[in-house]
Amino acid sequence: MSKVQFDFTNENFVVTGASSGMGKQIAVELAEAGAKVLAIARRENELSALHNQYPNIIPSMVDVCDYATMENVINNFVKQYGKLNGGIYAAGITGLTPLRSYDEKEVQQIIDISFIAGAKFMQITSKKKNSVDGASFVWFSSECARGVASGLFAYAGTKAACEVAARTFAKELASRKIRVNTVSPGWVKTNMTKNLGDTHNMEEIAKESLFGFGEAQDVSGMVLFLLSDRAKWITGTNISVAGGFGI
Amino acid sequence: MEQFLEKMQDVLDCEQEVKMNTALGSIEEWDSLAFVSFIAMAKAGFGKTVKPADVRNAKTVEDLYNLVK
Repeated sequence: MSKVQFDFTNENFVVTGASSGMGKQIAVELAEAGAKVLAIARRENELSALHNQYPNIIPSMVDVCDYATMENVINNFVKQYGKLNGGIYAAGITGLTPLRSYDEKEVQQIIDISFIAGAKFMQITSKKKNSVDGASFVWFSSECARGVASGLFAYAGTKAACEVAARTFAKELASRKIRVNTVSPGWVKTNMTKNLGDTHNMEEIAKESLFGFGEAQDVSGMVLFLLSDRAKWITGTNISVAGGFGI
Repeated sequence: MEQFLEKMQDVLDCEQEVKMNTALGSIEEWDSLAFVSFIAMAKAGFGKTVKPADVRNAKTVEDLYNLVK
């Protein structure tokens, strides 16, 4: 167990993309720290398994692009457990979109899930009736928003857009002391990167970071910190958690 | 009209109930951000391009309604 412990007793959070990778790790750690967590994702089996292990995690099988359902689920959670102390937008997909042969539909889907639905998520969760003043929100960006990787213009561009959007929302919500930040992981072993070896040389990729590949729990600590009151003066910024990526 | 009031509630994001005769000056949330949010809502929700000067001159919620109806 880490020497740094967080206490989120009596606090409520919503996590999207909660059935795998970073989203799941964060949902678990929040639940372990005493929070009630509304876990939104598309994969039902994974969500039910989470709930069985952590009764504090309230699972909800929702596609974030189905705005009406997402709003209903969040409203109901707030009615039952109280206003949100924060939210984590970890829903997202990636896909290879090389300039010569990208699929327009796939590009649109990447933008829809990671960016447009993320803005909707912020609109719903940041309403006064749904969140407390001083709530903290974290969006997932990626180090590839700066480091350029061939074939990833849609993913990288979307993540860069998320960072700017998060800063904009930070400004719009500052009067209520609501904080909005992004975290940019480097290369982390998750579902999203597990097929990377099919198209890329994994050893070469590992060399892009001083510490090679990371795990989801190498990133989640920063997210929990940003959600906590220790980060109350940190807003509108991006924090790289990337094992020395690009150095 | 009900639809308008509902949208105004979102634009202002305030917990007090917004009524037609509510004075804008009495709503703490009627700030510069609510101002641009109203202009965007008029366009998205009612297809109206309202003039910022007209919005500035509005004294009540009803004055705003008259700009979009």
